[in-house]
Parts: sequence; C-alpha cells; structure tokens
Amino acid sequence: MNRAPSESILGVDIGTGGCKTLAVDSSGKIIAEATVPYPTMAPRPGWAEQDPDLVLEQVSRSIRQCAAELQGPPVALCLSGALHSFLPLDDTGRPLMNALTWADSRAATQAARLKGLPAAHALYDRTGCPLHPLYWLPKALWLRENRPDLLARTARIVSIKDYVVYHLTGEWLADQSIASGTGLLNLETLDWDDGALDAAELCRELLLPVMPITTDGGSIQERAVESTNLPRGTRVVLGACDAALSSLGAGAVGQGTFVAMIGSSGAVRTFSPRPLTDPRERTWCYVLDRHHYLVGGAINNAGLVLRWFADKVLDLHDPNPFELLTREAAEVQAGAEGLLFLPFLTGERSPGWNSRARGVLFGLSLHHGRAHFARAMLESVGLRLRSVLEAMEQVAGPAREIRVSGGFVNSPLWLQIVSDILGRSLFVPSTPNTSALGAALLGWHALGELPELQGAERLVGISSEVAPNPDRHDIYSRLFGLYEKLYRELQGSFEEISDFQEEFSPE
Amino acid sequence: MTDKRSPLILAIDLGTSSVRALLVDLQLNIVTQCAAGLKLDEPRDGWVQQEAEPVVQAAFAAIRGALDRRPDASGQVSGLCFSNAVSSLLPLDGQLKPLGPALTWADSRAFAEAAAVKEEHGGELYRRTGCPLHATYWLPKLLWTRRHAPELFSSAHLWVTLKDYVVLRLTGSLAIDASNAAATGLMNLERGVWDDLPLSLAGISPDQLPPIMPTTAILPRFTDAAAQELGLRPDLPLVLGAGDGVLSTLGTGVVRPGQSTTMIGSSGAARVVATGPGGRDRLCRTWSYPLADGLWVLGGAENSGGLVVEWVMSMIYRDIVGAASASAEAYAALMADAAQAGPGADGLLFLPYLFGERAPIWNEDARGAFIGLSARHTRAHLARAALEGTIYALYTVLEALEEQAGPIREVRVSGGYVRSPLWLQIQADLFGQRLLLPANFEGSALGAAILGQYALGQIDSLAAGAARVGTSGEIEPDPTAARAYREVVPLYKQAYANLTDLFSALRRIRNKTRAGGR
Repeated sequence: MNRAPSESILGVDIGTGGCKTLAVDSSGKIIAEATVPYPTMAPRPGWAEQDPDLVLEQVSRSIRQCAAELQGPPVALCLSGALHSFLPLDDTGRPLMNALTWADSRAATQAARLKGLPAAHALYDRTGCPLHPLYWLPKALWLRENRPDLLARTARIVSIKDYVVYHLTGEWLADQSIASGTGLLNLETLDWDDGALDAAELCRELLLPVMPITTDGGSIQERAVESTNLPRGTRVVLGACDAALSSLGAGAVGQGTFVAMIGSSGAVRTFSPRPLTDPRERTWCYVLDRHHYLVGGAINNAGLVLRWFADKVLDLHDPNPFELLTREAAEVQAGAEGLLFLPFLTGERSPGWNSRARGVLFGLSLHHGRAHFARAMLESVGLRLRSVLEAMEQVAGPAREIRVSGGFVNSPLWLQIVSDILGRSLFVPSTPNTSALGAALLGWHALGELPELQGAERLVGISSEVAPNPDRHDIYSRLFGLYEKLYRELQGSFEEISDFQEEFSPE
Repeated sequence: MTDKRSPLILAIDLGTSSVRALLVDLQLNIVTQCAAGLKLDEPRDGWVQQEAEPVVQAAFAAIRGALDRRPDASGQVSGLCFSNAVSSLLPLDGQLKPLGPALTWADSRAFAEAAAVKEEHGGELYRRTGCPLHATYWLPKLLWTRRHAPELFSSAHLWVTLKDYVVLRLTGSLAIDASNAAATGLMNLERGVWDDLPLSLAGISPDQLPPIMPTTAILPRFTDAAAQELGLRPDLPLVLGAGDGVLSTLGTGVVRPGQSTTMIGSSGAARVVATGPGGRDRLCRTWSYPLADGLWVLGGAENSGGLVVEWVMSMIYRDIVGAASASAEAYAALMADAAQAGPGADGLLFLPYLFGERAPIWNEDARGAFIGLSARHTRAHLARAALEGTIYALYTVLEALEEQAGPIREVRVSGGYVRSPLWLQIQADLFGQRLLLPANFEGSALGAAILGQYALGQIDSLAAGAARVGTSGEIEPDPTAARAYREVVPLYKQAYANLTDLFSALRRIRNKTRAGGR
C-alpha cells in the first residue's frame, strides 16, 4: 500500500511539561509540529499535580496547531502519555482531584510500609515495578488513608492519557503500556494483577479495561471536533507510554540498543523480548507489546537540577538558563577541579530507590565559582546514568549501541560529558522529539503500513555520533569511584537529615 | 572622659597588615591612635612574607604619629607595651641585620615539613610545647629553610620574631616574651625554656634564639637614637608584652577560668583562660601560650570565617554582587535571606572547610560541602547554612577547649561578625549560651594596655584591668532555635566523620584531574 506523500499521522505526546504533536508521513518524515506547555503545581513539599482539564485543553490546542499546517487532514492520531499519572474520577467522569504526576512523592510512607511486606519482591517480579511512591499502588493507599471521602466517590482511576482519549473518542480504555507503569499490571497475563489490587485495596471495577497499544481507540467524536479542528471520524490509535515510544522514535528497538535519556528527569532503557526483572530490584520493566518489554532505570534529578540552581539559588529569572550555565561549564575542566555533586534534590529512584537521599555539593574550595557548580551538576547526571547503565547491563545484557533522547541532545557539551563518563559513543537521532515520532510510527504500524516495529530502526536517522575521549573517561572513572563512595558514606546522614527536615520544616 | 592626670600606656599593636599605636588611659579610654600600613609579599602560592625594615619604620611612624596628635598628653606617657602577630620567623646575621624577609604566621610553604614531623614526633612535641604541628610554627619553617635555602640557614646567627627585631631596634636589647616564645612552638611549657627536642630536630642551638623573659618584663632604656627619633625619654619603660591572641583575650575582659572569647573576622578563633599550661589534649588540637601570673590562654584558630561567607555570597548573589562596589548590598541581601530560613536551614548542612581546616580537626584536605539539598531549598537556605557552618566550626573549637579547661560559663565575642545580629543570634542559639558584647572592640591593644599597666604597678591585678573593659550588650539564646540546633550539631558531626576519608581521596583526584583536559 503506497500512501500519497501528503498523508500523515499525528503523533501526540502528552508529556509532563507540555504536549508535542508531530505530523509524520509513512516514511518517517516529519511534516509539521506544534508544542504547547502546561504547568505542574507543587502545593506542598513533595507534591506534584496537574490540572487534567487544562492538560486536555492544551493537548487539543497542540493537535489543532499542528493540523493547521497540513494540506489535508491526518489519517489518524496515535497518543503517547507520561507514565504513572494518577487521576480519580467520579461516576460522571469528572476529576475528583488534580492528577498526581510521577514526581509526586506524597505516598512515601505507604511505599515504605509496602516494601517491608513479605510479598513485596513477588509483587515486583509480577508487575516489574519496585515499591516506590511514584506508582499507583502506594498512591491508592494514600488516597484511602488521607482522603477516604474522595475514595468513596471514586468510580474510576485513570491516567491523564486515558482521560484525553475519553474526551476525544468517548471510550474508556487503558493501553497495556501505561497500565504496566501503574505497578498493578501482571506482566505475564497483561491484565490487572489480583495480588497487586489486594495490596492496593482496590477493586477491579475502578480500573479500565486493558488493551493492546495498537487498539482502535475509536474516532474523533462531535464534541472534540471543535477543540481539535479534526474531521469527525478521524481514527485514534490508543498508543503507549512516552518512555517506550521514545525508544521507538529513537530507532532503538533491536536487542542491545539502549537509549540514554536526559530531560527534566533521566533514564536508561532497552527492549527485551520477554519480561525481565532484577533480583536486586534496581530496574523496572513495562510491557509495550507481547514482543517488546521495556527495561529501564530512571533517575529523578536531571535537567531539573540546573533549573533549580538557576531559579532557586541564582535567582536568574532566565527562561532558558541552560545556555548560560552550559556555556560557563564549558570553561571548566573535566572533574570540575574536584567539585562533586550528588543530584538527589527530589530523592533517588534507580538504582537505589531511596526517596530520602538528598543533594550534596562536595569538595568546595575557594577557587570554585559558579561555572564549577554548573559543570559539577552536568557531570552528576552523567555519573548517575553510569550507575543505572551498569545495573541495566547486568540485568539486560551489554549495550551494543547507545542512542540518546531528551533535552540534553541540544547541548553538545552535555552529550560529550555523558559520553566521556560512560566511555561509550552516543548516537543522536535526527529528531529530539522521539516520543511523538514513536507515537506516529506506532500509528502507521497499527494501520499496517509498518509491518514490524523493528522497522523503526530503518526509518529513524542518526544525525551525529559523539565519541568519548579516553583521557577524560579515565578522570571520570576515578571520580565515579569517589562519587559512589560518597553516596554510600552519607546514607546515614540522609536518613537523619530527612528526619530533621520532616520534624523542623514548615509545611 | 579622659583623666588629665591618668598615666597613659602607649600600646603598640604589630599586626600583619598594619602597625597601630594607641594612647590608652587607666580607664581604658583611647586618647588617640595612629596606624601605618604594612605590605605583605606573596611571591608564590602559600608564601606570605614581610621585610623587616618596613615593619620597623611603620612602628616608628605609628608611634610618632600618635604622640604628634596629642602633644599635650606626652607628659602622661608612662610606658610602652607590645601586642603582635605571633610566629613570624626572621633570620639575623652576626651584626644583627636581617638576612632576608620574615616568614609570617600565614606562610604555609612548610606544610610538607609539618606533616613529616607530625607523623614522627607530633605527640611528643605537642606534650612538650603545647603547639599542634602546623606550618605556621618555627620547626617546620626552620626545616624548610634548611632544606631549600641551606646557605641562609647556615649563615643565620639568630632567629627572632618581627617584634623581637622592633624591640631590638628600639632598645638594643634582645629578648622574647614567654607568650611569643611559646608561639614559636619551640618552648618547653613546663619549664619556660627552649626545648631541646624541637631544637635538635631543627638543627639549631639555644644560643641562636633570644632569651625568654616574662611578658611583664621591663626593658629600662631606649637607645639614644630611637629615643631621639621618637621624641621619647630614653628611660621610658618598655614592657615586652605578648602575642595578639593572648592579649585580645585579656582585652575583651576574659581573664578568669570559665570565661571565653570567640572571634570571627576573615577567619575565626576561640580562646579560654586556664590556670596552667595546655599540651595535655590527647588529640593535640589547641595551643596554649602564657599570659602572666600563672595564667595561660588556650586557643584554637580556624579558617572558616568571614572569607567563607563572602565566597558563598559571591557565588549565589552574583546578580547583586556584579560590580564589587555593590557587595555591601549583597551582604545585606544574604543576611536578610538567611533570616527568612529557619534554624538548621531546613535540614541543609554546610561544612565550611573551603581551604582546609586548622583547629580542631587539623585537616588540610578538608573541603566545603553542602549536604541535604532538596528541591525546596533556595538561596536563603544556602545563605543560612553558610552562617551556621561557620558557627558550627567555631563551636567545635570551643568544645575542644572546654574539654581541657573545664566548663565555659561566659562567651564574649569580637571581630567583624559582631556587626551582624543574625550571625550572633545563630551563635547564641547553636551554643545554647548567652553572648556578651564587649564595650570596646580594640581587644589586643586594650590587652596590651592592661598588661602594661599591671607591669608598671598602675593596677593591682590583670583582673582589675579586665574588669574595666565592660560590656555593651547581651544576646540570649532562643529556646526553640536552641532545641533545633541540639539536633543539628550531631548531624554535622556525623557528616564530617563520614566524609573524613573522602577528603583525602578527593585530594588525590584533584591532583590527577589537574593533568586532565577540557
């Protein structure tokens, strides 16, 4: 089947910071794009929420803006959604509260309690999700213990992407990829896990039916026509989570191809042909389809570290502080002249899953300046990725090739630092918007245009390769040893400090 | 009011950056004063030296200047007394002429020699001399000179401090006061004589050093030339005096056991008074120098003071610092922000060891660290933590002193930080102790005046002089904040203990990465 060149599918990526829509033809070429941001609110320390109706409005706007640039209407839409968002709805489908994002750690106590259960490791093995406050299991318990009034009125719990699908097509459907990021999905049966539901004290009726990612999610219905400006009947492919689609959009589908992502948070991921868990629970595993299981380790604190430094410490009032800070950091030698940063500003996920870890600037000396801080922060994220990569290779086998995605692909310095720290070449895909591209490619796959997901490898171009410098790799390897030791030695301090923060900090 | 009939002491404070001469009356009023600036040469990293002749000329100029300002009072001048920056090392030839510049207390070129001697003889030397082994003291400096300037070392007839040299030029007499002798690190504490162990290690003999005399010793005559040049009676008594650490303790009114004084300027220090010599601290953390009448001052100096806070300010308030002239504004912003954050800075710790630390940890490898950063911390928390970190460092010095000299019942403060009410409040809260502000902050000069009055029989005891220093204010600890700090202090201790080994590992990496590229 040969499509006319103007025909396109919209890949709609409903991310944490905004919605990116790409119009992509069947050869993988990007024809048009649009980005619309939306905020995350932090009403209390450790809380992170989004207004689902605002997200919905901005997603529609993004679709509308992208479609407006096309000559003809798109053949279909396919959605990509951020993992882990948690949104309780009443029986009319109205939100009972804001959606809690992955960054919300209010369920830390519940997660810690669950971790102590004898069944904890078995739960991890079945669901692929370690017990951490970002998952639904502890969040559901938080709701039960803190807002029983809301839980009593809850008719459904959905992710933000499910909420968007419903408003586009009128269908309540969960894709198995986002569903497996809740911590409640059984990786073998690809249905909700009874043991996990019991632990979460949730009944199955509150959750949506779980469908494959290529499922026809219905078509644009009358009430979405106006907001999206798409013709009624435009087909919506259910889609998947942004993490897996980012790997697809980076062309990292084959065995041994890894993706290193640094955005606001960061991750190292690869696909496995079967479910894969770690006896030490350092990594997670989410299903994409029966042949592709995404194995990965995520870090909480990546780009957000620089953002915090620019906004909260330096008070720069600069909408894009990365340029200034990376320019300064480039003037400092590898190793930041002995300044080391542990970036745990919002606790740690992989590989240690310690939500009580805290940030550390170590080795400060009179000759250090702001540029050294910035350099140490960039390096800290690379050092974290190396920890995650080491765990990942033990779990999933060696990385043959590492592709990159996320905002850091726009920074040659940051790419070089990460390449030097990992001691590996990094391959930069031709588009930085890998999740939206992955969604569009999945759409073409669902329509039969791309028979195998593997085919994405051919369609996604590589724009550049960043090779490691052996001398700097040597320096970073020494630094890595010190950084791991620093983290170990401060474990006790982190416990005590977070206790102090809870006791003495105003809410 | 100045008493027209009161005898006046001409207190000479030989500092590192200036010489000051002050005319002080019996009630410790300062009648007049005059300062003359001094130049420091820093030809290489860690070298901080000073030529002797300009110091003599500055001392003469300051004395003349003070006397010229109050010609009416010249008849009341009853004697001179010295206070000085200790541990400077000046080689003299057979004609008593300087052979080169003096290495000041701040000179750290002998750090390797200090480390080597410490390794082998540290404990024994500390028990004998009461000085922790550090590059500031004479033994490492002499070893450095012997090794790197052997000709100078072998041609040196005498080794003196800059103050001894000024006194020599004024009186023609060679003498070192016991306080300064102790601060060379070569004096035996118990016997008050040059100790044979450090001397034999250094390779010098006792006759290459000035005779040790009490701090209250009086040299009865000026040379005719000096008397004429300064316009002083040749028989005006000159009291030898003591080191500035000892005399600023006395000059803040601290003269009894249980009293203490803390100071934060660029760096910081804490001192207490004891009725016997130190040198018994198992951990060799603090020095002890004699004052007079069997009283000793025990102290520890640390690096983590105002310089550290200035550095944090320049780092995180660069939007305000910008041009150097705006730094007062940045300082005010830092203090205002720090006041907004609560005690303990919401669980943010700051180890302030930006350039290694002296007392009480004596760790050259130590470096600064912010520990406990979370996304909700702002520059206000960093600013607060910086102030708290310097106070924590000061607290550990006083703690070490308390172990040796007994419980501290009174803390008097001096130095630049007394201008910051917040900084002092943090200290009162973290120490859990009331602070007293002396009425006058001319600590070391007043101390010299009191010592001079006592030596000349104008007052019956040092305590009588100290009682006249008076206080101008008190700062009480806040019970809620003090409770928070009782939790914070152990966190600091734990963090430092956990990081000790890592500081050494970090030094090895710093050395390695210096060879690395961009």
